[in-house]
Amino acid sequence: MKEAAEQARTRAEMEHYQGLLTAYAEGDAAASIDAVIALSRQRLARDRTGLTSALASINKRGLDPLAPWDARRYALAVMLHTDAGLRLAGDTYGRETYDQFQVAADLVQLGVRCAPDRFRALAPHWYVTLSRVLRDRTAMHAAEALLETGRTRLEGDPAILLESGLLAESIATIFALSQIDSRSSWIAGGDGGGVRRVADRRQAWLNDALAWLKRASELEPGNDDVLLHLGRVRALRFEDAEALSTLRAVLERTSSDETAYLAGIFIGAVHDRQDRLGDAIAAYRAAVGKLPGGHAGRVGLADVLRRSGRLDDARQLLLAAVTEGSGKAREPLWWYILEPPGMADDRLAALRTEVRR
Amino acid sequence: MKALGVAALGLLALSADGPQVFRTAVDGVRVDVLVSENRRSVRGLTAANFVLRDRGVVQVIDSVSFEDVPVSVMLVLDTSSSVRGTALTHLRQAASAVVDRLTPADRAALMTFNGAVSLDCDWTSDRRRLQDAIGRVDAGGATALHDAAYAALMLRDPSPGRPLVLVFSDAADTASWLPGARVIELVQRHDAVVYGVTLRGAETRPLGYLADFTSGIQAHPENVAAGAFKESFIERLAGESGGSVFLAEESGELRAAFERIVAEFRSRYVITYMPRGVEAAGWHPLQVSLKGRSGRVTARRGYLR
Repeated sequence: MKEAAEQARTRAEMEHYQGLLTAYAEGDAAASIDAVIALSRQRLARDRTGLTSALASINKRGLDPLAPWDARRYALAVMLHTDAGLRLAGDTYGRETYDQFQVAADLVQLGVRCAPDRFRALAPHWYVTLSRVLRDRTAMHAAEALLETGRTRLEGDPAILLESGLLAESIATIFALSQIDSRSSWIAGGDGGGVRRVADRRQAWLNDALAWLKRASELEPGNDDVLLHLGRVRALRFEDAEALSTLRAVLERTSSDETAYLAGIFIGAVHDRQDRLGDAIAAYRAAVGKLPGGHAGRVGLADVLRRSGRLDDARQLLLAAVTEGSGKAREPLWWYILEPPGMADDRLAALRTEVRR
Repeated sequence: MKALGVAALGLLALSADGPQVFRTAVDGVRVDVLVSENRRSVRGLTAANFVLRDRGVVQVIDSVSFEDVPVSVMLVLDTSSSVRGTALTHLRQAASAVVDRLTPADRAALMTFNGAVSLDCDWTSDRRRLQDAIGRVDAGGATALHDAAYAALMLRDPSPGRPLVLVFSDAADTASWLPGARVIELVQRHDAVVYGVTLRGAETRPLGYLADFTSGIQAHPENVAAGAFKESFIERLAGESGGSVFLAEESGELRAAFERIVAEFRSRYVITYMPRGVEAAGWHPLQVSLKGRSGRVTARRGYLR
């Protein structure tokens, strides 16, 4: 008797849920997101495993009025919960957000199993897009938690491995200092212990980045972007010989001037650090040849020229660089780690369009 | 206290192996010195009042000049996105006040930076040009502070004025290719005095500039002495050059800070001497002190040849 009542309630909820999916696809998406958040809270109030058990009802004849699901319905459900998670997140990424992303990830997995043709591309696309959105909001650990799920469930997916490598590289570089203790505790140490802690943590992220990028490179040997980041990460790990060989491979293969420019300045940076000024000049010069407006390449070249005693050449180069005005400077390095403002949201909008297809 | 002629100073002799900027035409050294007491500049001093040690060896001071040499002011302004709005208006007013205080013999240039560096007005004594360029300054983007300071030192005024680099930044570097240490190495070879202006709360980095994981060229943190990590880039840059850093509580105080810097710079002494009894190459720590009177002496920490 109790079981029958529970089944009736589940059926009613599934009907409501299916209505939300239809409304999300064709009507008022914002109201659907609010409603799915409310529905999730109701289920969680009854039972901490309420969302998991709801997923178990999906596509079950007798419980789910729209069974069997098609690929589009899975995709819409993924996106509805993704949007619910983002709505809940605000500035913090707490339990409720995590729950919604977890449901979305579970639905992705159901899609992979039940609608593999559609989800073969959509699944990694979803992980990468959501990771970019979370990175854009500097929710780095939420992004990594998501990608960890992706690496486990879509083992050997090169796009997720690349994204994981990029995230780890960004945490090891531009966000290396944002995760540490307060300034006062650092300084109170006075013995460089704080520096050691950051350096160790950073090294751990670089180790992860290396492992993921290497695997992505093995799976997708023709991807220049993977190789470029692999070369840079090796340089950041002070594996200079391997870094140079990887970055030179990028130079030999790529048809993109921007990728060649970045590989060139990264090679220049390795030689520069080693005080191999002639090699650094050649590398920077080649990079600037690919992208004459590149800020980093020209500054790097100017400094190695100065250190080589060619002060007039250095000044001339710098003067040309700075008199063009910052508005005209073109620097792919700015977007090597971070995407241009708004791009993550554009990716998300494109994914929303994709799932409605 | 007659000023030494600029031509006699020779200035900036550049050798083939790098910018040996302290070397005069006859290998003399010029040191810009501030003497203060109770936070006021002390005037009327002569060579007899100074004791200068180069690598610990007392040197014979050839001349001391005061106020007679025109100044060359490079204004280096952070125009990253954090300087938008009222702060930008105040920054423009502060820069404009510096130009208003130039004498006809002085020269200035305007450099701004965000993710890139821009020379918005090349060296000139034309105040109108400078004011127009200041009026056009806009804000947005990241903060390439190291690269901007580097460019400012490299693109010094070809005229033989006393070089002052006035750097304003409200944040730590986020976008430079060059590490801060490279710029510090350059300022040690340079005769410019660098003054910095920052806003309270500007140092968002928990450590100083040597804990650098963002610039394009990275060095092992292990190679740096632990204590050195406490210092911010602007503090070190100014300290090495014999300048100082002014902290503004809010952007409305920028104008007063900029004006004070120009006034203080004009009240500095220029000491010249020919190094004797010391090896020429390498790092030369300098100590300048007073004899026969009290006062606080601020001068560069040394120079690199």
